[in-house]
Amino acid sequence: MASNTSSEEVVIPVEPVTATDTTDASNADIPDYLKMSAMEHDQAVEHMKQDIEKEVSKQHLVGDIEPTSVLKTVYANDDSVYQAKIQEIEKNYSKIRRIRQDGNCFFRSFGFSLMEQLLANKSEIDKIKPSLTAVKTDLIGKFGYPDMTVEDFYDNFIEVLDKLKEEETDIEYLLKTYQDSGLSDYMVCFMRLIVSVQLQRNAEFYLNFISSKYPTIKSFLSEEVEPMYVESDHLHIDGLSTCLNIRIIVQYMDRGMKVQEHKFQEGSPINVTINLLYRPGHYDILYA
Amino acid sequence: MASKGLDQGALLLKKQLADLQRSSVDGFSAGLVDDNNLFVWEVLIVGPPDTLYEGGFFKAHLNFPKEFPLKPPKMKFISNIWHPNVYADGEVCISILHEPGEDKFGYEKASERWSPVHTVESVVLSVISMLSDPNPESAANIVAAKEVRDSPAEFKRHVRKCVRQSQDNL
Repeated sequence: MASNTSSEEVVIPVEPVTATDTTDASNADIPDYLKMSAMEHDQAVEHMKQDIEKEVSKQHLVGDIEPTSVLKTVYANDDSVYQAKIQEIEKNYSKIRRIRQDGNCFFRSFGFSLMEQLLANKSEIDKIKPSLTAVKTDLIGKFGYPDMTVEDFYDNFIEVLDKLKEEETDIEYLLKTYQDSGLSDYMVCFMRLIVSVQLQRNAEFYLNFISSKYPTIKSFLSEEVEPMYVESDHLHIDGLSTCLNIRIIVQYMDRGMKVQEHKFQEGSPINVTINLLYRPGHYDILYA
Repeated sequence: MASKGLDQGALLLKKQLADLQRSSVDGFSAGLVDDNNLFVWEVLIVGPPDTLYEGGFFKAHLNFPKEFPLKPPKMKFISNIWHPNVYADGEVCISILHEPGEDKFGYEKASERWSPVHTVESVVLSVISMLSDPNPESAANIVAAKEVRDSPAEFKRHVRKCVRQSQDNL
């Protein structure tokens, strides 16, 4: 990039420093945020982040079922693009369950919707378990993850799945479990690891879709998949859906022309379909 | 239902502590500062062989947040230690102790970040490897970082002083 720098140019002195005494004179025109020191700036950003976190933590981790029309109140009346799209979605999905917007929403939506359907369809539970066990085995045996933590997340997930088989388990149990941040977040941790395993097993394939700022699958996983609160993208959905062979249908609602539908693992023999609504930066669960 | 709730972090720490004390890991030992509080640990790190820190015994505290393991612990050396990635107050600054998005430290994208799957062992082992392999690019102690680059002899003198001190304080 410095190909035009010849050896003569090196001796040319840098521009004379003339701006030394301008700082005080023009101070009045500088907006407040530019007068901050780096540390003050960091603190301001930190405060803002804390305010947002506080606001978000008031939302239920997993909400109750509501009519899809509730979304109309979220957008301005004259927001014709979104109002029209909500109507379009309502035709096929009359109900919605809203999930906390904390960066884990895709995983929490998937996990809850999966288990809610398994509760009504208990015979499918054992079809999913082998892939979950293989995830644990590969993480520890093949990819060298610590058994201590992996087993903790796995056990928690399986314990809830097994509970779904019991006659007396009802939706209240599932709601309570997913609204308990300790249990709910542990479930998210494990689902993040499922994506991680799927991407590591097929690293060469998935690398094709990863930004070149990540030289390896591991660096992508460490930054974008395994940590909590980082948002999900197409790859996360594909990884989870493929690894467990669970059908996912996402309705994409953004500023584009119309609602787009994306299907994952469409031909899965497992009698479960996760229906999700995507709005930029967020996922919720849809119901017919 | 067996509600684990917020105790999950405590349970995990308890298991890890028992595990570390049962089968010790080369290079460090771990215990609680106060037996009633699982969220503050003291570790004693042995200066890694064939490094400037060889022969030293460095005490550090690990402070776990109530959201552990979702959020990372903080680690702070109690013993005096001279290292580019340790602040003057002893706080350790390495990527594994930070969540993604905390980019003000200027880590490379490829560096390992905190995720719930990490254990106390993996954190302390990363710190030990930091002792063997300082990263002057994301410096917490700028003077030490400059010494590593420009005056290794001076850096060595400072480190060896800490090593002797750590032996005296043992």
